[in-house]
Amino acid sequence: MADYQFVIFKIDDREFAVDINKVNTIEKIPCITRVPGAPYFVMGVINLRGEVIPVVDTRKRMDMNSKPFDEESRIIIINLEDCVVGITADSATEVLSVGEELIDRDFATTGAKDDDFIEGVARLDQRIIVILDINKLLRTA
Amino acid sequence: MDANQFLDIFLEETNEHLENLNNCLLQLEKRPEDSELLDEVFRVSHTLKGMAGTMGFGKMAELTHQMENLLDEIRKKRVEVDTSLVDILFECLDGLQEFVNQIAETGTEGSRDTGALVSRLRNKLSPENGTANTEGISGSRLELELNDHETLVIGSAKQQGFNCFIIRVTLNKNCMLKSARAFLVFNTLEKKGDIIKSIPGVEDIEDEKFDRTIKLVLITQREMDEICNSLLSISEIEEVDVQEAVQPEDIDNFHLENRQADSPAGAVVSKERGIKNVTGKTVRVDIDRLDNLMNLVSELIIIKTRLEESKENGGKANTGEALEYLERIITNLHDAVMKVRMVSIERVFNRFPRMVRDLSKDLGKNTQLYMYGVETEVDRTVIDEIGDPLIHLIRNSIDHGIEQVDERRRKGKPAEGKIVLRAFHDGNTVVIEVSDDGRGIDLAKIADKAVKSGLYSQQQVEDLAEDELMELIFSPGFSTAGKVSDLSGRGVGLDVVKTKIESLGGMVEVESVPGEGSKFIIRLPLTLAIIQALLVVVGEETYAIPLNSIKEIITMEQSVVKNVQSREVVLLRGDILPLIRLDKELGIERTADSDKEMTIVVVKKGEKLAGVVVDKLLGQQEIVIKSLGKYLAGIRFIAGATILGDGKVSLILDINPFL
Repeated sequence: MADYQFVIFKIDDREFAVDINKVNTIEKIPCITRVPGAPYFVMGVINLRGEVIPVVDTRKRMDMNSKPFDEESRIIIINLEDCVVGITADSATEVLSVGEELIDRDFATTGAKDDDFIEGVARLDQRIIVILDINKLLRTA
Repeated sequence: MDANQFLDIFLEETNEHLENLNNCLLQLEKRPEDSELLDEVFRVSHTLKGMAGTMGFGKMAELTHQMENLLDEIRKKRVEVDTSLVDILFECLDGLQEFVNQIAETGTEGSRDTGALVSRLRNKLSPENGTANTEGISGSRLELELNDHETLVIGSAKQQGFNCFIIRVTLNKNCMLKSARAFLVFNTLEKKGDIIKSIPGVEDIEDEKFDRTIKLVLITQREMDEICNSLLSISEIEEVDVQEAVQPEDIDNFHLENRQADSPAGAVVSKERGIKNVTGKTVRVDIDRLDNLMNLVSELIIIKTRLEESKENGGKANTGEALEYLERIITNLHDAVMKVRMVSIERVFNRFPRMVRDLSKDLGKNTQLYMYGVETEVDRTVIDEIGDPLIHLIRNSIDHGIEQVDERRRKGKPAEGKIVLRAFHDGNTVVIEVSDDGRGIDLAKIADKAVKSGLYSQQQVEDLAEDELMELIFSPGFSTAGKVSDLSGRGVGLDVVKTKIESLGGMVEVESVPGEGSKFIIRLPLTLAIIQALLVVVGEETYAIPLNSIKEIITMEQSVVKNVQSREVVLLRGDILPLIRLDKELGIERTADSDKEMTIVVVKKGEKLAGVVVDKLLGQQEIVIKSLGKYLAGIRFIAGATILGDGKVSLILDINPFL
């Protein structure tokens, strides 16, 4: 059975996963320039080796309390179909292979706001990892 | 074969050929007797056929093949070149262009059916040539059962420009050695092409297990007549019937399906490519320019070594010199890179002769387009954007400007209307002029319209200066055309042109003499990628304001600010200058210091002025414009971003919404 590879990142003590094929790089937090008039969850833009890339505040997007960046904080650069966008994370620590059989795609929705972005839930030993539908997470409209 | 890697080249070359074809056809219409032109058209369609065939685009190949047939007849003077013929050829060109666009978007030809066009091409062929065809058609259609593989072979052969014939040979009743005759038939045909099927089969024929007729399928490059005649020259042959093999209608789909079945991986690839725009943007670059670029880069390497040395030696004087040198190289490098991005404006202009021809035909007007300065070079980004505004202007000129032929005669003008398209460099800008010798712009009509549409009162209109009145034609929803036509008069034209040009950092003006014509003048910056900008600080944030939109910088006391209709204004040399507080407009956190002097950057858009209040000026700088990307598209007040010397991103202010 096909295994999926995910980049796992943490916000508080919750673990999230994004499809590794969508991930371009993982960067430390550079200087972020605020963009007035951008959607509320867009923190601003960064200079990534000469390209201007928008950064989405993952916490704001998922209605979580904000927290200042620290040494562990990262920006995960995601390749979307026609653009590149960064998402913030408290830390991005590992790449994980998860078998299809461990992924529950029909999980019961809790009604919380971040349900929209959830593609499935992977259960490994003691861990519960939320697999994000990155297109929905980053959708602006 | 994975043809995808050649797709870009194919598209690029095809587009070039189509452009060439377009030009040739236009000229051919004027000089039908010019055999060199005809040869060129023939060559181009032949090349296109070959290219399309190689890439497996059957419909394109079929269309070009038929074009070639027709052209060949013209070459042999059997068909006359007239307008209707050129029209058909133009239609073919459009068809081909559509195929190419479709291929560029999806990687396949799409489902467009050119059958009608092909048959019209066939009809155009002269009767002399038609005899062979009619002969075949008049007789009953030859039916032959073909299996999938054979159909496929026929399909691809046709795509590659081969002829496919179904041949029925009937031997003489008294023929003694049937198999020997059959052998001769086979032998003759094998010399001309490939026999892919015979009924009865070869073994049966050898054993003389057949009646008097043999049916064959032949793929060949020869013409029908030739095949027919060569067969008839064999003795003891009673009748020969040669017909073009009919392609099953779904051959193309069939063909595709088959290919997908053969290589599922390939199919997936093409599907994926289908989603995205398959072609990237490319620029053809003169090799000299690349060499120049290379030279400059090697100089950069030299200067780097020099700087390293001077660092080791700790010599200050050397460093300064090296830095100066470095700066010079960078300036040159900048120039060189810009030149690489330059494309001659011909690329845009090329499509206009055809457009003018078609439009004036549609409108029953007689118009001639003259183009000057087609070699003028403009940045690639400008080229991509300037096409639509120019189309608008040219349409306008033909539709509104140029009069009907009898009206022109009455006015004592030459019957042929004249539209002049001129491009030239003027300092750091490119100027493109569209002028016509038509009826010009009637200011009274504009004034009338302005009042009627409620934009201005009668009194206001009378107060407007002539040029202000003229400006009105650029306002949204404004059209002086009496009746709305397909082309213009809906009032969406000129304001769109103006907005577009201004978004490119350019401007558009109009000059007109009633009765003698009008002239639209577009001024555009040479490049859009690098501009001069003023860096300003508001609160903690740094913004760049394009220098070309700045009029001046002034300082004023807070106390002189007045409130007029809840807007803050100051008086600048007697004129009212509305103030824009960036911190409020952009939501910048900033502690207000009401007693300090304000620094005001006065920005302009046309005649309108506004004062942008900033905290600090950082100075003027050349900045490279970066797009904010699709994700943040359409944000007000922000025109783009740039990366400053310290690596931070700074946003470029778009002052237009403020004014």
